[in-house]
Amino acid sequence: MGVWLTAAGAATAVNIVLLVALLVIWGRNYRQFRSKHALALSLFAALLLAENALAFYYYVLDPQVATLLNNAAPVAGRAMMFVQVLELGALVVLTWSAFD
Amino acid sequence: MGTGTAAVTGLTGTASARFGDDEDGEDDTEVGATYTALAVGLLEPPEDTDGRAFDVVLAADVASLSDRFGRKSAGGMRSRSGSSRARPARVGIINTRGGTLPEGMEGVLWYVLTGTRGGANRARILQTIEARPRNANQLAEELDLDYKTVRHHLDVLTDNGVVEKSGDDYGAVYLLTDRARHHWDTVEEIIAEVD
Repeated sequence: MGVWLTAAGAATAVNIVLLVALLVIWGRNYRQFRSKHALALSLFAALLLAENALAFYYYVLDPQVATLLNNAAPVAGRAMMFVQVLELGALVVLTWSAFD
Repeated sequence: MGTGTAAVTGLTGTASARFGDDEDGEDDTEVGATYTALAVGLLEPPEDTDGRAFDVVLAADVASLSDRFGRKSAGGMRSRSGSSRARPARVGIINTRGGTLPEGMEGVLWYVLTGTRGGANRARILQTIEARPRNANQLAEELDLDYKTVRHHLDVLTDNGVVEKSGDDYGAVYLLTDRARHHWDTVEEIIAEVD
């Protein structure tokens, strides 16, 4: 549980940084181009940012809830933490391409 | 309609011969649709061709057709098959097909122009190139951008099949690809917001 929680917490923190960077790029592009595409990307970043902020709160700021949930359903808890790490992988690639 | 019929027949004959050689299998359905539209009632839509190969076939045919009908070549746009044949009337013919080029291009344009950090400058570069093909140096000067920045944008645009280099030598000019030209209204729509 310790390692998982640390990994998920770290991944969530990096996700937040990447999403803020993406939101800045896409938000700026939306202001500039007013395109549906840039709007969709901005919205996507904003919503995923909200999800990661919540996860960050659970995993890092108030791990009590995470521990509680994890004890109640260890497999599901671990799977949820793993999702955070998967998101990190996806966001790294997305950020890499958006900074092109 | 004598010449019209001859043209369509010639087009069909050569094109069908070339389709058999093609190994790639992308975008077949759209190419098939185009083919039918161009050679109505003369041939079944080919099953396994790729959009690029078809463009070349089309261009080569148009070139030979204009030769046959004594039209003057309008200049040597590049050819993807490596043949140095000029491609006159290419734009005219391909543009009349309407909506048959790979649909993915539109998404590429939106992404490369509005989904990335350098989008606005890329839009300016495209606009400048569309007016007249230029090399990286001329673009840097005209748009008041760093040479390296321009090079980078051109690389990204090339990688995404939006522009292409004419020739390999230093200082070669860049021009829009057929696909970008075909979707130019999309580019204009995007650019309109920046100006």
